[in-house]
Amino acid sequence: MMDYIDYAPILAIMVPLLAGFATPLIARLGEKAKKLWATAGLAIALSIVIIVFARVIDVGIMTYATGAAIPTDLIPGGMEQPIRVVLEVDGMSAFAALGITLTTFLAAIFSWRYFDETGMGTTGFYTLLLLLGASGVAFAFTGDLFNLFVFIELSSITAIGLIAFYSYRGRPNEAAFKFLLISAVGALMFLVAVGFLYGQYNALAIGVVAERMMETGIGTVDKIALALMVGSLAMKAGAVPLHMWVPDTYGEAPAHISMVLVTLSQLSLYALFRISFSLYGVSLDGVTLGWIIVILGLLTMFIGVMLAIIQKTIKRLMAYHAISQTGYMLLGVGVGLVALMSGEIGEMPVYGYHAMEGGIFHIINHAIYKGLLFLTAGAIIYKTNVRSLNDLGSLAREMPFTAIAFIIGAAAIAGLPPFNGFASKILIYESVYALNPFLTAVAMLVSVITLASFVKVFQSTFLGPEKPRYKGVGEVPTSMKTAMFILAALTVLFGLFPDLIVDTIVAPAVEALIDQTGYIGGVLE
Amino acid sequence: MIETLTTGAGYWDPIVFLIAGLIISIIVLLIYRAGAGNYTSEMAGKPYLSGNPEISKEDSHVSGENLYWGFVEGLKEFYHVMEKMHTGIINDYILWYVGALATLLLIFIGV
Repeated sequence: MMDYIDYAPILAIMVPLLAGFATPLIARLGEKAKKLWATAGLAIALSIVIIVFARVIDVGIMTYATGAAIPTDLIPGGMEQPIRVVLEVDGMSAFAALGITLTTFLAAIFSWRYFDETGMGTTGFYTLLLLLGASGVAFAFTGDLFNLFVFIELSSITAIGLIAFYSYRGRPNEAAFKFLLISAVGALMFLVAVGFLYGQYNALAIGVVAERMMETGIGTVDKIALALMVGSLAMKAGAVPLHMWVPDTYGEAPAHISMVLVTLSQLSLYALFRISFSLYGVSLDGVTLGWIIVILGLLTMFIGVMLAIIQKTIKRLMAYHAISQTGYMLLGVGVGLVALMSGEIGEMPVYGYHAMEGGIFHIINHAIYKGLLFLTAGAIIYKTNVRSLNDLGSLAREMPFTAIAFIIGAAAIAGLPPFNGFASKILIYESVYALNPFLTAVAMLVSVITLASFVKVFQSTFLGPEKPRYKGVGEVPTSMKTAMFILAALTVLFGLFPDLIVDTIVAPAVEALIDQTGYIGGVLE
Repeated sequence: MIETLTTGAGYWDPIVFLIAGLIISIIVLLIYRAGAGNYTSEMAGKPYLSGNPEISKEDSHVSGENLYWGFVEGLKEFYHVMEKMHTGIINDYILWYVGALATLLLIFIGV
């Protein structure tokens, strides 16, 4: 007996997808209709993802086979494995989808007035934003290796169009071109890895490949595939030393698209974790992979923050911080992977579990406060058309709301209590310490330098004697303030009630990630 | 209903933190109120800059580039290496990627 809610995973993809294709038609009804349409499409997608999340927490993994008479009937009669495109949603997939739908929805709200000054048409923008939302959810929900590649490509292509939105300025075109090449090369290497695994196991469903890998044990071809996938996904996530495209693209895209790009990079992290835990899992020597992820995390957080502090433009500085914060997520989950090998799945040491909680919690926290910071940067650029920190100043007088939003975001990213960044960082600090105190020392040093560099932004942008050129610039329109307010409120709420958030959305994601048998069973049972 | 966040090695309770912050703020306010009430900004006098004339308020703003000059100068060799790494050329990005893939392959196949 099929329940309507069983269709929710596919609806979370189809609603923004169809809304995106219909946007050029709706645009003929007027600007307001188009903006309402796009915002509503993304709001519905977000609502469906929340429903899916609630369902997954309630009854466990949700699956959906496209084109099947009974969509939950994944394996047709007489077959040994799924042959259709399969969606498999567990706590971690739903968690990943939550980030991309939240940020695309807020980007749609922020866009309402953002392009007024440029006089540019926004039909293409909203179409691409909806398609990016759809491909992002599909990226998170797919249970199939080949479709993972397809959705990596699809999300990258839509992102390229959005990065190059200010095409008249020239530099965004260059940034989009770099992103295009990097994404294409990374995705192709990922496809080669998928080809290797398909050749080995005659299957593409992650659960089926994982089960067969458990039976046969891991061989050289599997290791080559793993290296290709880890390298490609680490590059897409912006891990050092594969991060160099990040400041170029985040720095040149519209500010709210930079916010969405952060969650898109986090989807690559999600895929990296999915491959590490659900696909390879117990078949693998997790200590080696775990330490690789830990070292990547350390390099990413340290190099990212050290380069952020010397930046001269506001968005480029924030882009380097986005790199740096990714390091915390890699560190937390990498330590979890190392710890997992110290005990059976489900019996991993407590510090490993809390490190993973911290790493995963930091993903959603980072999406929120970094999104907020990018929106404040967008608000500043919208009102002043200036990006250089040397030329800004005294804006707190003119833009008090933006200044307060910036303080909240900056305090959160620097890990100051009681904001959300602190809650996830303390989980990481204390649990990672159990593995090696040096890791915690680096993580804390990075937080101090992060605070220093945001003090620099605040001082040079908002403080100082009144500058005549900015006199009377005023605050941003209500739609932009609304998007900032939602993120600022979430930053505070996630900081004040961390236990509630960890129990409700983080712990189910962590448990789903470490439960490889459960993930395999989701497809095969 | 709202419990503290258990971190494995301890716990974190933001509500207790906020209550402590509120108490400290009240104490600070009481100390502030006990200060001289007749102070005005005119009483501060003019700044003395070794006999040099005072620069205009607008020009006295410390811009982004001037902040942490000493920090950057002290680590200039590190930053020199970093700048050489970050060329902005896509060919170099791909080279880094190829190098990283080769390293990962060596590690995974070697283990």
